[in-house]
Amino acid sequence: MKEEKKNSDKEKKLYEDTLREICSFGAGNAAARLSKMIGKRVNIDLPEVWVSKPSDGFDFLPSNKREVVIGINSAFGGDRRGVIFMLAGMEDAEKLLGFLFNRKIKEMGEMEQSALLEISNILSGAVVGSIANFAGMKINLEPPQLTVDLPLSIIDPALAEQMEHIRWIFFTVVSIKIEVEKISLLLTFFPFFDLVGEIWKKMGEGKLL
Amino acid sequence: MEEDGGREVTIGDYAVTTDSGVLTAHGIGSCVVVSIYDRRKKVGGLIHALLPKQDPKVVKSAKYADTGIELLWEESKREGGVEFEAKIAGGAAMFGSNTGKRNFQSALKKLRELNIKLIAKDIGGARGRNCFFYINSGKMRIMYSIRENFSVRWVEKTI
Repeated sequence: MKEEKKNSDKEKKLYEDTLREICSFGAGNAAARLSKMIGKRVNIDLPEVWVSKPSDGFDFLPSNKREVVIGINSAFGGDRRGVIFMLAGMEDAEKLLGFLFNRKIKEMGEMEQSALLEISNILSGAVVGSIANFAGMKINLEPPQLTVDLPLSIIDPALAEQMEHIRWIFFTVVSIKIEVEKISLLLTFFPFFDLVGEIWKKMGEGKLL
Repeated sequence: MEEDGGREVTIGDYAVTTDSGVLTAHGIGSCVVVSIYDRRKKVGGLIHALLPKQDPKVVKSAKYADTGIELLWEESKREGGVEFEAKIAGGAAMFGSNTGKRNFQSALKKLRELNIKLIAKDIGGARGRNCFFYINSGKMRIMYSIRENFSVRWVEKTI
């Protein structure tokens, strides 16, 4: 029993370290691309990673669960499937669009929505590219979809599908800040395959433990 | 805006109570929340399930609509409930996912098996929900957010 717990803790740590590495790499590229797009300095925080077994419960969402956010969903396909989300608070989205268009944004019309979809494409593409590199896979990003809703309701279908495929569930958050203005965009991805296990297998480590 | 308070039932969890309080579940997308309630004994509970059906070989879990409803029913009986009615909310098709529909169908099947009458439902659509279940009345209040530019307006219905 003690040995089982030790192995489980070790595996959890391995998942956390690997996911943090993937996200750091992806977020670095994402920040550089976003900086080029909006012409401002973009900084990133060290990505946060939550890893748990479904039996540990699901109360791990970092943001305020009752606050409505803009959520952009990009499914990815190819060798493996999954979903990546960009979540932004309404105020953060307004500020981000203000930087992009260089004016105060009052309405979220078609142009503003397209801009957010494009930003999500850039950021999600960088993270998915990082996953593909680490795992040695071909992964394509599908066109993104935008919604405004409660964060948990946006991600729960992906969480459900992830749980049907792998033993661990994980949730990663990359926060991005633009110049002195703190704008937090959360990028989180849900691969529907054992991402970490496959990466370790490709790296010649064989079994995780 | 929505009210606070009450006991929150998070994803994969359930709660049964005989107090005159409120059980809440937030951010319900493709998940389903199912309430069961004995009107005479004022015993009731709520489950917040993520997936439709569990492997029967493993220990029952509230993460699944089928086994979760069984857990909810068993505990509600232990708390003195006898004759139950049910309400279901959630099961949205977020981004076109069919998990919500499967969750609803699984919940419905289990309620039929347990002979619990479904008296009201608010399911489907493509919007998330917040849900408040009042034990003293058996009413379920459901809230949706409607976007208006960079703010939201809440709309509600009671079933």
